[in-house]
Amino acid sequence: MKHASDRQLLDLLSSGPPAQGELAGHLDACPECRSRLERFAETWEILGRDEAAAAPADLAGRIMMAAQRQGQLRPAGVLARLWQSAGPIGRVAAAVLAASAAGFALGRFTGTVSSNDGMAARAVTQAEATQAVYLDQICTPSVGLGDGLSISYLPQQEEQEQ
Amino acid sequence: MEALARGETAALGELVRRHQDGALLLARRMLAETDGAEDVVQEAFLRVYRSAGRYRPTGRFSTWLYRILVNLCYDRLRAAKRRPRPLDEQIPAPAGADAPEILHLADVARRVRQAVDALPKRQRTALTLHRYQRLSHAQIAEATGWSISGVESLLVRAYQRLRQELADLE
Repeated sequence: MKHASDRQLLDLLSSGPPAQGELAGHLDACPECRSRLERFAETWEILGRDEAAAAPADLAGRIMMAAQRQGQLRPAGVLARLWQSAGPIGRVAAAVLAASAAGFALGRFTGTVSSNDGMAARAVTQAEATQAVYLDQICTPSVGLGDGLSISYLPQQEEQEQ
Repeated sequence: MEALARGETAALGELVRRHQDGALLLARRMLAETDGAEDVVQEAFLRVYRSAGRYRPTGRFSTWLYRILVNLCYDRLRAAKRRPRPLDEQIPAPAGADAPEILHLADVARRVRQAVDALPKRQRTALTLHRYQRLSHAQIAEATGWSISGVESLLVRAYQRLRQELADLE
């Protein structure tokens, strides 16, 4: 076997000497590699003279208090744990349910609505409605945005009617 | 970790008690800033708490914790954009040591700490995980996200440099 590399010798410091194998046999037979290992071990030992003090006694308590605060402020944590414990089928079912609910809500609040005379009307945003009325006022002849189309939110129109 | 993932907050206490010393030592070595180190350790455990449900026991818990901690320390060092300042932490004296011996031991500890703090950031991280956390090269690679050969190269350079710096202490 070739001489042991520095990398091999350094790994021995944290993992302990090899009980058997090619490297163990080589170290037994090679004084040069043993000497190199001893020099690394000396540096390892010197570094150990600066073992830091233990954590302050109140650190664990502070962490627990912070965790409890987060737990109380984070109801989503309960949902996350439920999600984790639901299993694949439960997660798919939950996702379908959530998508259905979202779709229903979108349809209910932003979709087609019935106007007073029973015609279907398209809901538009306030900005679109304002823009449409403005265009109708400045265009000659009228672009006819009001013809056959009921706008669900027209603040200017409401003001004029009042 | 399984108990923590089930929402048992008391399990976090057990993890903290078991790993806080090692975590704080690592953060202190990386940041060389005691107060900041405690903040980082606290944040690391809170992240463990928040993401317990996503933990997969493919490796040692400590390696996962150290990975979180190393990333937090790097974030903090980047934010500070400065070299860490030397620690002014008191070196604990061994029981039964007399006054001159205490002074000598404190001086040796200070020299060692200064030499480690003076290492480039990546060498210091690899050395700390190797010497003080006793992780293998593969575990250091896992904790840092670096390649094993990269870790080994950093360690060889760090130990060579420290051996020169601290030669008179041998």
